[in-house]
Amino acid sequence: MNKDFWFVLILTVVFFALASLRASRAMIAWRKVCLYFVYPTADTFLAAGRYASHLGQSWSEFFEAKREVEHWRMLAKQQKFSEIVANIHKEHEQVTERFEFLRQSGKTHPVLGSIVFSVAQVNRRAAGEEAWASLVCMQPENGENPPRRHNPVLQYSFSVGAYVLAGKMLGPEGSLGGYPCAELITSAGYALSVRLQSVDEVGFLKGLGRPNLMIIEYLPRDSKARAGELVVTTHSSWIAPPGIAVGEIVAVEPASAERLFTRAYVKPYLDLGRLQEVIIVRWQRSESAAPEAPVFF
Amino acid sequence: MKFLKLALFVFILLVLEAVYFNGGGSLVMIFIPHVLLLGVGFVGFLFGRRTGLFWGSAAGFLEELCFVGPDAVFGLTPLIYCWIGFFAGVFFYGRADIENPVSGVVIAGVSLIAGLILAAMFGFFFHAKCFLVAGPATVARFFSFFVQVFLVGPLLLKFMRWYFKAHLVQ
Repeated sequence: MNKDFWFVLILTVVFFALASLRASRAMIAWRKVCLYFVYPTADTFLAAGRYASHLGQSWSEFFEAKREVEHWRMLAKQQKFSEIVANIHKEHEQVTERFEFLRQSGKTHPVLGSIVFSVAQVNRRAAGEEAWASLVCMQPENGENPPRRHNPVLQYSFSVGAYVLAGKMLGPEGSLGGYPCAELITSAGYALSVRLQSVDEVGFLKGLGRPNLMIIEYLPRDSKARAGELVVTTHSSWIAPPGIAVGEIVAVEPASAERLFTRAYVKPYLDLGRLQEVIIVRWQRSESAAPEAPVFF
Repeated sequence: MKFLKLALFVFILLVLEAVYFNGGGSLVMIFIPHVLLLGVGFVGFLFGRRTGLFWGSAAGFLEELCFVGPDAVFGLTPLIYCWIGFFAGVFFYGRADIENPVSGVVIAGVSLIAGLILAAMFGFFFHAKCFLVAGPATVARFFSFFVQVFLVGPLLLKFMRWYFKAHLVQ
């Protein structure tokens, strides 16, 4: 065969091998790298060659653009951080405003106006449906003396537009993580003397562990209680000041000849879903020292 | 001297293609002038298969370096060009009349068609982009094909006859 044909054959084999070898892919990668070093956006060497004389300038422009991008990213992060800080400050202001409102409105309240009270923010709730409706812990405001056992706890209900009974403080043995806790009126173990305001009947209110239902027992057999009747605390409850709203009757059991008393079901005014701040009633507003047992009236 | 002249000739064709692309010429009719491919075919026609083989490889390397992007598989363009130069020398050297413009048309047409077919084939088998067949087959491209075969080919042959007058043996 002619020498030239051998040349062609050899060259063909060499070029095919070059195109097929893994090395050719590596070569492609290195060519991309070389091209990138000349001019980052060029797609051929000829195009990149136009900018070869401006190599120094193109790289300095590239690094400047990179610095600018990093600067904007940092600004965005700072802005996000600033927004978070601003949100925290805003929330703190809102909480302070609410506390101030509760303090001021309590001073003019016909009952609370004569009582020493403080406002505390709820910071812990127990887990589980029953526990969530039974226990709430709080952070005393400004490091005051911790509240005592049986100190009543109130909530200002914006839907009702009044202070409503929320529960009672548990004392040091009931605290969680060092935070004082209160037993809510919806707790299964809670019990309180109450009065039906319009019919002036007294009964024994008990929690059922349910967030929206309680029961009043020992109502007279011929009770005149009806649905919608307002239930308030009474003098004999001794835990809470009298006249504080507790809830309203939703149903009354019909009188029975076999029973001496009748029962009624109460929907508490306590709004568990909005229990963010509580008012802790401490003692009478007087010069004498705080009593051992919480005697209010 | 012949070597230097051929080197200069290949370089001039390369610059022509570069100027065409970078000087906004690609906006005109949107066709790609393959003057280097035609030139390599004519080198094989005028100087024989060995010269065509050698300068085809060289031109292919230069073209791949300058015009082919980094995505292309290395080595296919020199292979196509060396085949064009070689087989132009095998089939046309000493057989066609170098004075006749029809020879220019035939060699230009054959070189262009063969080059495009080989480029398409290699691109298909190697899954690689080939510079010769980059872009869609538009009407402008077909028109440019006829312009290159019937106009550029004979003109280039005439130029080469004048340029290599002292070295032609036919």
